[in-house]
This record gives sequence, structure tokens and C-alpha cells, in this order.
Amino acid sequence: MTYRDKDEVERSLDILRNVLHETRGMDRRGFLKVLGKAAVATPLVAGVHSMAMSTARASGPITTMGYGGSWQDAMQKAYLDPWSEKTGESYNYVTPMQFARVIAMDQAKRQQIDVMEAGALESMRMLKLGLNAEMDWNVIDKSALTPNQLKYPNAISSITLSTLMVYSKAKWPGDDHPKSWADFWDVEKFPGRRAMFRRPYSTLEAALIADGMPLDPEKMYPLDLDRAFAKLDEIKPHVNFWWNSGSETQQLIQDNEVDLCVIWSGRAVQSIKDNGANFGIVWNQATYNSDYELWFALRNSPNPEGAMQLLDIVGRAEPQAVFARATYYGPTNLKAYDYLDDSIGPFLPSYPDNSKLAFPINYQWWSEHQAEIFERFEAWLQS
Amino acid sequence: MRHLTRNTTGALLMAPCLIWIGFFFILPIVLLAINGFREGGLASYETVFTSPVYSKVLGNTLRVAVVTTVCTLLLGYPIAYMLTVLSGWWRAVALVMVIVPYWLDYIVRSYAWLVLLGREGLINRLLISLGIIEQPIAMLYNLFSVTLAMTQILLPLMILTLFGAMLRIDRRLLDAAAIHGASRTRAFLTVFLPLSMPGIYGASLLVFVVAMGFYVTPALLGSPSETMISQTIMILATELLNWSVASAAGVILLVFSVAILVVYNLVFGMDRLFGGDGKS
Repeated sequence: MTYRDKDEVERSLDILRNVLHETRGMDRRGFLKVLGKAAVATPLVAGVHSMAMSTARASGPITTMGYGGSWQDAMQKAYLDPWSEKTGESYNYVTPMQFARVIAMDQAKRQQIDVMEAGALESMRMLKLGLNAEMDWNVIDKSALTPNQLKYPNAISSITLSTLMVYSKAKWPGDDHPKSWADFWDVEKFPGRRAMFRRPYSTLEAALIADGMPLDPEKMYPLDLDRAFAKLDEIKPHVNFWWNSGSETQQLIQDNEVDLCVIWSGRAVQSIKDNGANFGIVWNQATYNSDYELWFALRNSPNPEGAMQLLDIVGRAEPQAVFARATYYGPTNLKAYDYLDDSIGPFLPSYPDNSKLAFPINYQWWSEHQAEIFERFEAWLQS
Repeated sequence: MRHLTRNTTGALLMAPCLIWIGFFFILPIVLLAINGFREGGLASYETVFTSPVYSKVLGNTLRVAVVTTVCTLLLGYPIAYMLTVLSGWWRAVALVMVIVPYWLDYIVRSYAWLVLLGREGLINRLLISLGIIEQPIAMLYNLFSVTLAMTQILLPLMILTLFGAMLRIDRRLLDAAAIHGASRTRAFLTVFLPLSMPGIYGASLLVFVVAMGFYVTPALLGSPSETMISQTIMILATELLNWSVASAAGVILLVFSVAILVVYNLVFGMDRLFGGDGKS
């Protein structure tokens, strides 16, 4: 039952720190390659180590659920491989990400997922349903976390993103480009093809900000729906596409299908830095997920000890820096920026210069009102 | 086995099939229908009927499915007819060309249209370089792009079903018409076309039912006006986690589809759909 000594955590963090240090300034692909090599080397070390430490109790494999593709690669390299190295145990990574399944397993009292990370709305719903297990702060080192990561009971803030606009640099090469939501709405001054997110959250906030609402959560919520929809009426005839998924936005800007695009920050940075999309990012008034995306262990899961050991890793600065470099999502542990140089830091939403310009969305409010607003939003869109 | 009556043997032979259908098809549908009642009796069904969204989406679904069915029929009929005229190697080659696109994943085929129809896509670039147009034409994100892609995806289904029905038509009847002095067009219109009607009914129904359930193509290539019911059910079930309303919407889609089948049966006769001659 006893948790392996803290030295081991420190040792795997050392490895990550070294990798981050050696790859400073390297692009995402090169970085992932080096990280892959580091991951090959570490299980060997772990194997030898676990034989020497055979008295320590192994808690068995853990199961987590998440998105596939490059997200899964980053999850494994930043968090799960270091956990494996630390415990000598294997893990199962379940895809696709279906939070409905996690709830159904909880209701059926057959929870198969030990620990997971979820988006802002899912996380808020998870707290409301009380799906999470109690944290064992003897295992998880609280001192390694920053206070903003501990806003919610029995959970740790994981990563963050902003929903913001990007503009075509071919269309607006100079400094006279759209810089605010009011500019996005100004089709006279900035004519061009536009794409927006086909969900009410972040979209209604952007409409209200365009209508002159200050960037103050206290004043913004509860949202003035009539005012927001009236403002959306203005832009609706000028929106060429309402997207449903992040990959659609990358296609939109990489193929120059639109000139102004609402997009998730991580997707935008990937398209611009790695895939050569000629677009500029507007951090001003970005609608920001702040600390709502959470890591948590699930109650009544098969391996609570293993879950706690993983939770001891996921909030720390080094793994979060690795994850941020691999995906361009922002770390919530602000100490992670010590390991991220200027080729990447300023492209992340939690970078202080960016987050201070942003508007933090209140997902607590959204999780309670999402259903009825979704219907109104869709009825409005299709009318 | 000899002392078993014919009926008992038949029932035993049917049993695995019936158990399979009952367990994996009927039971889930019953559970789905019950799920729709779980939160406050008829409330979820009422939501689907009274909220402007769902009736609108059902209307969209019907509209897109009908347009797609008509387009696949108009394009598929001549090709199916051609297949019946061809023989030997040529027919085999033509059949392969019809079938091969059917094996390709429909997400890939939908995505291909993004590449072709985009503002800087192949078609626009070609037209601009030929000097036919100056500004790119907006071909994406409307009923046109959705119908085009769905027609391409469902065309093989239409062609193959029609082809099967047309093969059963006795071509000597066409010769008989010619002997009686009918022109080729007249022979086609008065003999072949009426005889191929059961095939048209059957193939159209198949394509229509499959089109009703489309989800990825309208989401990728359409505007909100082409939203189909499966997209909405998907969001209800996986994002809003409103399983009760999602179940109600699913059951209503099912009832709706069955109602269309029943009307279809009354008008055209169900046996024709399964290759009967409609006389029995």
C-alpha cells in the first residue's frame, strides 16, 4: 500500500526536465521524436529499478480514457509513461473519449476508468454528479501545484485553451487587422469570409463583448440571452460556416476557405506553426477556459492507488510543459513556463501576457444552462 | 427428427435468427423507447414535438433525403440500364467501377469534396485558370454540396439495386415491341420502364432510408439548414447527456420512418420491394 518514495517521482521529472532543456527551440515534431527516444530508454531503467524495489507493493495497471491521435501520444509521453516508469505497471488508454460512458458505468456501479482528464463542461458535470473519488493528499504532493489548480474539490486543473479568432495575413498583412470581437462583427470595415463555432458557449460571450459588455465575469453572468442573440442576428448572414469540431477549423484556415475564423488556440497554433497557415492570432478578448478542465480519479474504480499516483504527476510543472509543447494547449501549473522558451510560451493561452487579455468563461453557469440554450441556439441557427 | 412436425422443425430452424433479432434489435429499441419516458412521462416526447428545433431538423432530414434519392435515381437509372445492355468483360469492368467507390469510407469521400469544391479547391482553380470565372464560386456549405456528396456516396446502392431488378426483365419483350413497329424509344417507354418500376420503388426506398440516417456528410459539407436528425441526436446523447430527449428523438425518427414505409406499401405494394412481380 505504501507509495514508492518521492525520489522516484523526482527522477522521472529529472528526465522530463532534461528533455525539455535539451530541446529548447526545437519544433513540435523534432521535440516529439526526442521525447519518443527518452520514453524508450526509461522503461529499461524502470525494469531494473522495480526488481531492486520488489518489496514495494505494485497497485496494478490503471485505465484512463481520452481522445486518440496526437492527444493520446502527448498524454502518454507527458503523464502515463512517467507513471509507468515510476510504478513499473502498465496502463490502458481507452478511446474514444465518451463521457456519457463514464457516467453510465458509474450508474451501473461498474466503473472501469480509474482516472481521467475531461473538458470544462464535462468536468463541471462530473463535480455536480459527484463522480470523483476523494483525493489522497498524502500521495499527491500539493506543494508542487499552483493555487489556481486547486479551485475544485478532489480535482486538479489540467490544461487550458482559449476560443479566439485568427485572421488571414494575406488579406490583412499590415497592422490594420481585426483585433476585437467588435471588429469581427464589423463587416463593413473588415469584409471577408467568416467561420464560427456551432455551440452557444463562448459564442454568446463573444457576441456580448462585441456589443460592448466589459470583460468582467461578475457583470457577464447570468448572460443576457436576448441581447446576445440580437447581436448574433447581425453577424449571421456573414458567417459562411458553423463548425462542429476542431479539425474542421484547421482545414478552413489551411485551405484559405475563410479569412476570419473562430478557433481553439491549440488548433490555431498547430496550423500556423507546423502546417504553414498564413494566419495571425488575436489574443485580445479571447474566451478562455481558465482552470475548468480537470484531472480526477473516479469513485469505485478498480485501482484507486494507481489513480492517485498518476494524479501526483499530472499537475506538476514538468509534465505539463511536455504536454503543452506536444499539443499547444496551455499548462495550468504556471511554473511550467520555466521550461517553455519564447518559441512556444507566447503561443499558449495561460501565458500571463495572453491570459490577462482574455475573458474567462464561467462553465459552472454553462453546465446548468447548456441544454435550454442549446435548443434556442440551434433553433436560431436553423431559422 | 422424424417425429417432429414440419412446423416445429421450421420454428427450431428459425429460433437462432429470432433470438438474435429479439436480443440485439427488438430489446434495445424497447429499452430506447422506455428511456424516452424515464424523465417525467411524456415530457421528453413533448419536448421533441414542441421545441422548434426538432421539427425543423426532421423537416431538413426529410428534404435532404428526398432530394438525394431523386438525384441518385436520375443518375443511377441510365447507368443501371447500361449495365444490363453491356455483356461479358465490359459489364464486369463497369460493375467494378460502380462497386469500388462503395468500399471507400464515406468520411473520406465526404472529405474529398472539401478538396474539390473549396474556395481554393481544384474546381475553382481550374475554372479561374481557364478564365471562365474571375472570383471563386461558393460551392461548399449549402444544400448543393451536401446533396452532391450524398448522391455520390449512395449512387452505387441505387445502381446495384436497380441493376438486379432490371436483369429480371425479359428482354425478348422489347424485341416483340420492335416487331410490332415500336421505335426503340417507344419500346423503352411502354415496355421496359413500366417493368422496371418495382426496381425503382425498391431502390429508392433503400436509398431514402439510408439517407435519413446520414450524419457526417451534412455536418462536414452543410450549413445549419442541412442539419439532419442524427447530428442532433448525437449532440444530445454525447455532449448534453440528455439521454431521455435523445431516446425520444430516436424513437420518433423510427416511427416516422416506419410510417413512410407503411404509406409506401399502401401505394406501391411491399412485395415489389423484394423482387415480386406485384401480381401475387
